[in-house]
Amino acid sequence: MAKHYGAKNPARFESGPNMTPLVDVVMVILIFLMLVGSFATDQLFLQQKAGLLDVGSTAAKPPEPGEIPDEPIIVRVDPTGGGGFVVRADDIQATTGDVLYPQMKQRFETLTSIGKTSDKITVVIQPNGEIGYGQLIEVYEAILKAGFEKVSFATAK
Amino acid sequence: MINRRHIPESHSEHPNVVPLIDVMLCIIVFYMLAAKIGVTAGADDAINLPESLFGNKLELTNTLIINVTTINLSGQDVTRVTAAVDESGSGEPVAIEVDNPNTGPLAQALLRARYGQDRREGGTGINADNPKLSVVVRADAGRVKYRNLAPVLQAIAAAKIENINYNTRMKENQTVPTE
Repeated sequence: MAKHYGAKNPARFESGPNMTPLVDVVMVILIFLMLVGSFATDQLFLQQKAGLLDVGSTAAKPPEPGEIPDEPIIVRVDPTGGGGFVVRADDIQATTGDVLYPQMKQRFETLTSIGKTSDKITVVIQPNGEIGYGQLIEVYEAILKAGFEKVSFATAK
Repeated sequence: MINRRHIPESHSEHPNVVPLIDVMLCIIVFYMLAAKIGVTAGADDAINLPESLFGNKLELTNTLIINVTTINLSGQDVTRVTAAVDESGSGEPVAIEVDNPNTGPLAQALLRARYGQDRREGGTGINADNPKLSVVVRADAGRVKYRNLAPVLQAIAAAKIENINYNTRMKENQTVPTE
């Protein structure tokens, strides 16, 4: 800052360029970015690692003696009265994902205890056409949480 | 007498705003680098996604988003599929008919995204294959039934797209999956 002296004028200082417009523009840009930008989203993605399967097809050849056949686990999902659904797979039966999960987890642990690896176990969900997508995701999520990796949907009902 | 150096008093009429500008510029640079603006190209925000606890975060690169919902036509719920498959590359979702899952408009659009303009395996340039193409299915939890979704899944399978992800939203007040 330049200091000016004079016989009659008191010492005064020049304050430099006016920063107020710059501050205004910078604040507007900042508010724009705060409103438009987004950081963490609440969106998740359930990955499907197996393609669609035709439930009506049969195995190409009979399994070798002692070999455990890679038959898929068929999980049927049917609607019930009142907008609910029921899930059936062999001896498993559930009406919600929370009830389905421990049964599927037990089934997964039984299969892995006899030597089956998760990439050899296929689960095929066979939903009725009237099953809602939200219900379908609930069943799909429960099966994925139980440890199954290859979970797919059936083309035929 | 020793001339002690001291900080001169400020005689300016205005407060010193330089530190304020420095901080604000740092914040702006942070937002410009970290915030995501317009990344969800092709997503229909009107769709009510189902909730889930399980799932992964996904980088939406080399990804085609397919929105599935239903509209009421003459008292019937008709499947409505939109996807950013416009050939102009605008990134905006456009309505597309499913029709025949193996040969209809949706299947053709998916084949074009997967295998290039010629819709056949092999080729270079505009006909180059995209084997790492991912598809994200965004379907309405309350309106879409499996009979609406099955033809879309068949069209995706007909295009031999192997990476399929189902978009959900995290359940409220939950941060980790419960056992």
